[in-house]
Amino acid sequence: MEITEKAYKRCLLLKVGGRIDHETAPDLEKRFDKIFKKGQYRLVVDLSDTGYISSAGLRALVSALKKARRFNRGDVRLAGLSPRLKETFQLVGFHHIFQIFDQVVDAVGSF
Amino acid sequence: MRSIKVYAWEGYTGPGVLEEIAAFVTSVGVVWSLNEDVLFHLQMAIGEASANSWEHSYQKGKGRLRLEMERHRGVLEVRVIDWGKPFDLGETPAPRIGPDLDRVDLEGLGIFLMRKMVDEMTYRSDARSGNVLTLKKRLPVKRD
Repeated sequence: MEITEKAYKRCLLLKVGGRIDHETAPDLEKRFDKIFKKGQYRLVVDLSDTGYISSAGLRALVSALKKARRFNRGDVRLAGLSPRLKETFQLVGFHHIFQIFDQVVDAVGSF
Repeated sequence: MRSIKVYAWEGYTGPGVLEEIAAFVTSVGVVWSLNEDVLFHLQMAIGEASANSWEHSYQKGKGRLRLEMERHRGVLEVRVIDWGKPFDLGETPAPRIGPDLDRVDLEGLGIFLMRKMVDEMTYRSDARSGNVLTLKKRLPVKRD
């Protein structure tokens, strides 16, 4: 799993590539916590290069969403999901809790 | 009687193993010419099952893990076998996911995903055979 960051005026874009599985999800959680500690609570997670996400990865995203929204009036928005990832997110009902955008530019612009 | 070829992977839980298993599943998928949807569903289910063995059966420690894949007429059968602590599939709660974030509870999400990705899932455990999680996935009917 590779994570890169790009700061925009109103949000931080986090691009996550590769596999988010039970081994790598803890690293993603740590990265979220590091970002929150810096006071950044508006995030866009670009999943266009993510080929696989396990239940541990899905948990990491929800955990970040809760931290961002509940305590800090922020949000975690998702973008660039492949059709198969989109299917997975719909299957588990994540479209009810996340704002999901087809294009990263739209997600960034939504803040 | 026609024999059925079983593709098997065996190793120990530890760093990099989930990715190694995913590569093995992909290679079998190529041999069987599986379509991308079926392969993705298998990857999801087998990934969760393998992670479950590592996390629950072996409490994130090192333990023997075996994966067997075979193809019958129209059905793929996968067995994920470990020799760690057994678990009860029936006791796993369903995750609670809805618009109210405070009420979201993801316990049981892995099992839920596995059930959604395959057509049949059974589990048995005994001292000799180990903990055997069997996943069955029906193949889509080819239309000419």
